[in-house]
Amino acid sequence: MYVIKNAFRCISRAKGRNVLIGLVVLLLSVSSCIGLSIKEANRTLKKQYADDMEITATVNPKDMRKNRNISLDKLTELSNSEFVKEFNYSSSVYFAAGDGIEPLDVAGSFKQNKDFKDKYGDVKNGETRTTTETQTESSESSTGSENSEFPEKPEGGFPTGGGQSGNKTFITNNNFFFNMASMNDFTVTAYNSDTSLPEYISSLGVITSSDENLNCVISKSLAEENELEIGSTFTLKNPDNEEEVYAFTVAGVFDSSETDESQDTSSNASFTDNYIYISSAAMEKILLSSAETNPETTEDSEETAKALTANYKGTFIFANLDNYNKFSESLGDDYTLVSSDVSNYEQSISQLETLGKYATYFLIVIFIIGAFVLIIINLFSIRNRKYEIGVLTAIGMKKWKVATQFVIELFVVTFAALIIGSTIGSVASVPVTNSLLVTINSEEKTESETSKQPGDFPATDGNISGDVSGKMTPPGGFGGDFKQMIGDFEGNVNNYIISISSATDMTVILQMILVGMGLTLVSSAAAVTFVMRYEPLKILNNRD
Amino acid sequence: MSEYVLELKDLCYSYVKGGKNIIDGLNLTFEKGKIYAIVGKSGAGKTTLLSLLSGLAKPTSGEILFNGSDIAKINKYNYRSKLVGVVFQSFNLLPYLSATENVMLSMDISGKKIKNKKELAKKLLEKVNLEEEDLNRGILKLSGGQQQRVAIARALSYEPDIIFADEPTGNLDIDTQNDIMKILRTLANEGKCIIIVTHSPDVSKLSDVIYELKTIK
Ligand SMILES: Nc1ncnc2c1ncn2[C@@H]1O[C@H](COP(=O)(O)OP(=O)(O)OP(=O)(O)O)[C@@H](O)[C@H]1O
Ligand SMILES: [Mg+2]
Repeated sequence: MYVIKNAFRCISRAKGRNVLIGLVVLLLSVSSCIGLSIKEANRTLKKQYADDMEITATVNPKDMRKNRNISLDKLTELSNSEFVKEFNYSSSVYFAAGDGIEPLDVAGSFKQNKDFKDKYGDVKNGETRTTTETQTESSESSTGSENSEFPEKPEGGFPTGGGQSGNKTFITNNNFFFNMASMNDFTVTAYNSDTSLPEYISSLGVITSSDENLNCVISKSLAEENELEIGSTFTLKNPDNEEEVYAFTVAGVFDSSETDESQDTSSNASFTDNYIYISSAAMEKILLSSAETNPETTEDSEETAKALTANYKGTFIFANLDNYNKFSESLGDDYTLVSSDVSNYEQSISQLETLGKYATYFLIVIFIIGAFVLIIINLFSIRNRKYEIGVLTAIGMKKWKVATQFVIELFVVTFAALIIGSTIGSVASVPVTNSLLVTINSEEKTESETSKQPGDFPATDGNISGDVSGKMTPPGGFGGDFKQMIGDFEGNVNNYIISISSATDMTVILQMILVGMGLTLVSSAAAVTFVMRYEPLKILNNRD
Repeated sequence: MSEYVLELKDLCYSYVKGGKNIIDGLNLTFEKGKIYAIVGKSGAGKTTLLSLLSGLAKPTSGEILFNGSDIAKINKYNYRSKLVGVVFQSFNLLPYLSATENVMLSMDISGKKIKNKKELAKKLLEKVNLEEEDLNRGILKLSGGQQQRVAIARALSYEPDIIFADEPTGNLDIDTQNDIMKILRTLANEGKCIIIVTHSPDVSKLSDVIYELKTIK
């Protein structure tokens, strides 16, 4: 086949022209490869996340003011849905200090960083508060007033201790307001299952959910402050009934710095160092006995002793987005399902969709420009090849063979460029797609951080007087608990859509081959038309 | 089977439809084994005649018979690539190929089964006095005379029945011209028909038949 041989000779001898065509095709294929890869990655990511994403969610009442808390019964009832893969809950109760223990004072431990000092000057009384004698009093009289001035009270007064997972997790809590007179020194929390314990508690191995003994884990700073050791005992009181006292034994000490959380300094009980963890069996026992001790209390009599009430925080885990959506639909009007996983997913997806849309526009533009440029180049080069066509036909080469030779030339050049371009493109598409995804991720982060603004507590900061009890004491360690639970699923919750390893797959390669065919056809069309219309006599007479 | 390898009957040709005839009612015959010289003033229509004979242009009227059959009825590519060889006045070599490759390409296009095309091409080029070192050089790096000889070698390469040569010695010195004429004579003796357009009296002298083309007024 001398036609092929001649085609290859032409390619190698007419470098300028072929390099030009090659470069154009190279640029086209790099960009279309990236464009196609983005589209493809977009498609697979979307599907993959919808299918594989394990979603952790909480159920919240729709109207927080009317219905602030969900009972354990309700949570359990909801968890029986066929769509729920796993259900865990934590229960938290506020206690006041009894014998042998005093809470770490929020204001006393508050680190006066430079910003704070610049704005507010040194907190003078902070230093004196570390002694046990003054502690009770000062926590009562000054914590509140300090708090109202704190510039960076985090997240609308949510307790944030406990979680070690990413800061993307946004907790909406079962907010509830506390009895103004109650004195909440400690948050005692229990988890219904050992697997849902925060890592820094479960690693101690001292709390098992079935253990009925009042063994507890306290923070290192709390232990040091109160000179408590493992085996020491202390008592806690019902904040609403001074008579109701429970004795706890220290079974373990956790390091609150491991919780990797900014301290919530809005009240003692929300202060991570004042968290106390017990087993769920022990918690049940306490709640039962408290209910027996304080039968039937009425809301309006503030002086009346009240039984300890636990606030439950349920965590629902769904195997995929589909189940999550079906469960959400089944909830009805009173409750809403909230998941940072899903909101993150939705943000990512909407960004991905925008990205995919731009990739499509990009591809269309690339194609139009590419085809245009190729036709122009080919028309010009074919004009220059008039003489060649004339000679070849004058010495008896059939026109269709000349045309075939030209098409082979274009085909070889186009495909060589296409292969190089696709290789570069598929290599480049990974960082390009990833950097686009990183942009998405960081935008997403900023958005969710913004959304953490305390929207649920309209009155939180404005109405606070100097009285600690006037301060709306935030709910217990639910935020932390929830975050901790998420932390366990961190791998597939916080890190999704961080990166892809290869954006170019078979589909893209097939599409690229189609791209190549298209480009070759478009550019050969010009060549073939020209060859077929050309008459060799002009060459013979050497007249143009 | 005609006794003539080529026969023109009332051949007329005009470049413009309905315009002046460049060739007007020409009747000529060509036999095998002879060298013909076609002479005439510049612009008389010699090159035009050759393009008609080689099938590149179609007669306005009249016919050209090749071995008795009208060339308008034979496949023109077949005719040009196998049966006749043309040495163009302006050579018409492919600039991106070397001398050898140009010759080999014509062998390829003829579709004739030729063994050792490369060797044969080299042999032919040496026969027309091309130096060994010029064989693999690009055409544009050769002199006019060298290019002319490559064009001659190319026309001979696939052993056509007729060779048309448009001023094949126009750029050559007397010695080389005589060498070329010797080659053509050998071919004629082998039974080929050689038709040369020329202004050179020497070439005319070395040919068997001279046709003079008159300018049509
Ligand atoms: N493509 C063309 N269109 C119109 N007229 C043409 C064309 N080619 C040639 N002619 C005219 O036809 C006439 C014959 O031209 P031709 O090239 O055959 O002359 P020639 O005998 O080969 O001359 P020379 O000896 O100079 O090569 C000239 O008058 C020329 O102007
Ligand atoms: Mg001429």
